[in-house]
Amino acid sequence: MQQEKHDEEIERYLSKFQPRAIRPLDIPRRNGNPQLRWLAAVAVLAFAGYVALSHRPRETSQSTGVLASPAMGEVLPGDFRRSKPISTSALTELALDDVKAFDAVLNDESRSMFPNMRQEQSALRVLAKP
Amino acid sequence: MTPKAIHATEVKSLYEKHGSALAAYGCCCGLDFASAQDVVQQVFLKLLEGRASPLDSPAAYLHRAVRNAAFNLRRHSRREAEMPEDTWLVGGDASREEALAVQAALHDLPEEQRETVFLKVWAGMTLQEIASVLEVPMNTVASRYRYALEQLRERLQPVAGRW
Repeated sequence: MQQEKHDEEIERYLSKFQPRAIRPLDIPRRNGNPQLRWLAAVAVLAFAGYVALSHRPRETSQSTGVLASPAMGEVLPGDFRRSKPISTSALTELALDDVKAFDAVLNDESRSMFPNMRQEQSALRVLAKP
Repeated sequence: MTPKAIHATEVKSLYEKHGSALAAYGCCCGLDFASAQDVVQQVFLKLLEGRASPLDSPAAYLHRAVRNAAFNLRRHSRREAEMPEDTWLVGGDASREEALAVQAALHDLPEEQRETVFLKVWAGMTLQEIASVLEVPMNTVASRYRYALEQLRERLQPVAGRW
């Protein structure tokens, strides 16, 4: 009985003291929830795919050069006009496949670069092909 | 067994309720207060990440987890249980010296008795819960507690000025 009383007293005395307060819980921040991150990743991939498809080079006369143009045979040699210079590879192919057309293209090119030798006043007239 | 998911608000609530006692218990297990706080944080972060579950008795689980983590930390750092120099007990009316005297008296107890007293007085556990935390029979817990109180009474008599 006496022992129990002593135990209660010392318990009461010890209870006077309290554990020191702990610092607040540091919860690491996360950037959004995982589902939203997945959704954002899918959206980015879809957008990238759309951009890649819409900017894909199309197979046109501009990209394939002189030979790919369906109207090339019809316009050459007299009406051949280009807004862009002809690539070397396209000229080589043309030279191998169609010598006349190649000659016409070169003529046309030279007219745009050199003075017209067939003009009445031209000093180079004597050099021009008859 | 796969840990049961526990909600963040529940974890925070457990932290507010038991956090301070757990940190002090870490000091009882031989850590300084800063290390004890870190250990408690790790235990709760595991709960938040769903890597652990308090199951039926959160208080018993948390104290057992802190105890294991404290012993692991001590084993890895190869340090003996030392008397923490900073206070982990505070008293409203009591002076800091008196709190330090109580801490010193607790530290002089054998480790198993010190833990038993802490879990009974400051964690508010029953002898059965203490037995589950310390993994010893309840009779062992009861006898440890009785011996510990006797020694504390003798040791603290001059400080408390009573008994």
